[in-house]
Amino acid sequence: MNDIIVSGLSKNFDDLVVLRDFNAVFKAGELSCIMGVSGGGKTTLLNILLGLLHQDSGEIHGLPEKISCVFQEDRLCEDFSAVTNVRIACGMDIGKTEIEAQLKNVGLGDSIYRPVRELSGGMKRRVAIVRALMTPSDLIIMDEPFKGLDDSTKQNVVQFVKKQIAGRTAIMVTHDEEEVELMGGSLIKMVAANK
Amino acid sequence: MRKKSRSRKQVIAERICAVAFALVLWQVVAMLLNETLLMATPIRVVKELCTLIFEAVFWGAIWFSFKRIVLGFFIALSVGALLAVCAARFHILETLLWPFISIIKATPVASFIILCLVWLNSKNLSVFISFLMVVPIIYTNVLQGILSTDTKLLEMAYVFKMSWGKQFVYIYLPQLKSYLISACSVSLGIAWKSGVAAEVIGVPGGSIGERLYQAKLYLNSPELFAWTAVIIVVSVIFEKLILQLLKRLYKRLEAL
Ligand SMILES: Nc1ncnc2c1ncn2[C@@H]1O[C@H](COP(=O)(O)OP(=O)(O)O)[C@@H](O)[C@H]1O
Ligand SMILES: [Mg+2]
Repeated sequence: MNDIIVSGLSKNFDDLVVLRDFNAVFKAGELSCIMGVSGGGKTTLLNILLGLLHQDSGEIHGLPEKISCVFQEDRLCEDFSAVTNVRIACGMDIGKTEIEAQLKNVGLGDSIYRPVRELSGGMKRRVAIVRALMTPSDLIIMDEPFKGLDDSTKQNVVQFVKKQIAGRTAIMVTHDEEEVELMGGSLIKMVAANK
Repeated sequence: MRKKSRSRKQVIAERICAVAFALVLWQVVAMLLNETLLMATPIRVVKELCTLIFEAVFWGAIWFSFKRIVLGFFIALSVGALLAVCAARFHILETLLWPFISIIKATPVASFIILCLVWLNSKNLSVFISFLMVVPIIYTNVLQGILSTDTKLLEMAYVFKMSWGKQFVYIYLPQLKSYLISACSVSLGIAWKSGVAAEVIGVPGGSIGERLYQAKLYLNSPELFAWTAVIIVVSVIFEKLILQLLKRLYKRLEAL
C-alpha cells in the first residue's frame, strides 16, 4: 500500500477552468478530507481518480486498481432490493448474511428486501454507503456521503463509516467542517481554480 | 371542468354504456341500409358466429393463421432485439440499418405482400409479412431504450467492475421494461393485421384470410363481420397474454 500523489492536475470544460495545477498527497491507510466551495471541482477531481474523466494535464501516481465509491448521487439499481444492490457490487465472496447485518447496522431494518425505489432519500444514501464500504477495494472515494441524512442517523452512520474505513485509504469530499471533525483525518482545502 | 378522479367501477360502467350505444347505432344503421348485403346487423353476426364455432374448419383456420402470425412475431422479437443490441454497440450498424428500417416502415404492406408472393409460397407468406412489419418496431424501441440508459449507472457499473451479464440483468433489462411493453403491445396488433392481409391476398387454403376472401367473393357480410370479430378477439387475447407474461418475467427479475 502506498500514498497516492496528485501533481499539477488541470482540467477545463471548454472555457471553464475547473482544476488548475492541483497538488495533493493522499496518505495510504488514512482518511483525507477534501473541502471546497460548491462548483470548485471536487467531483471533477474524484471523477478523474475514478477513471471516468481524463485530465488535460498533470499526473497521478500510486492509484490502485480496485476503487469503490459513494457517488454524489446514489446511483442505485432502483428496481432491486438493498441487498441485491450491495451484492452485485461487492462480488460473491461476501455472504448474504453479512450484507444483511451491515445494512441493519445502518438502521435499514426490515426495508432491506424492498425495491430501492420505495426507500426514502436518506435510506438510499445509506445503501450507497454500505455498497461502497463492503466492496473489497484499495481506495474508497466518498462524494458528500452524509448528504440528506438527518442528525441522529448521521451520528450512527458516521460511526459505521469510521469503523469500516479504519486502516484503509479513503478520500471524502464535504463542504461541512463539522463532518471533517467527526470523521477525523487530514484536511485538504481546495481553492476555486477560476478565482 | 372535468372531474379529476373517477373510480375504476365508474370507468368500466361508462365504457359498457359506450359499447352498448355503439351496438345500438350499428343495429340501426344496418337496418336502415336494409342489411345483409352491405352491412350485417350485430344480431346476424352473433348468429353467424354461433354456427361457425361448431365447425371444425373454423378452429382449423384460426390455428392455421395463429401459428404463422405468432411465429412471425416471435422471430421479429428476437431478431429486432438482437439487431438493436448490436446497433447500440456498433454505431456503424445503426447507420447501415437505417435505410432498410426506414423503407420497411414507409412501404405499404400490400406492396410487400405482392412482391413476396413472387418469391415465397402463399402458405407461409404471413410468417414473413408479420415478421417484416414487426421487426422495425421492436428494433427502434429496443435501440431507443438501450441508448437512453442512464450513463451514471453505467459509470457505477464500470467503477465496481460489474460483469457484462450483471449490467444486462440489473441495468439494461429494467431500463428496457417500458420500451418492450409498448413495442409488444403495438406490434402484436400490427402482426395480426398484416398477417391476415397477406392471407387475403395470397389466399392460402384453410386460413382466416381465405375465409375473409370467400366472404367478400360471395358478398357474405355476416361472415365477413364474424371473422373480423374473431381476429380482433384472438389478437387482443394474445396481446394480453404476452403482456402478462412480460410483467411476470419482470416480477421474477426484481426478486433476484
Ligand atoms: N461534464 C461537464 N461538462 C461541463 N461542465 C462541467 C461538467 N462537470 C462539471 N462541470 C462544471 O465544472 C464545475 C465544477 O463542478 P464539480 O466538479 O461538480 O464541482 P463540486 O463537486 O466541487 O461542486 C462546475 O461549474 C460544473 O458546472
Ligand atoms: Mg460535487
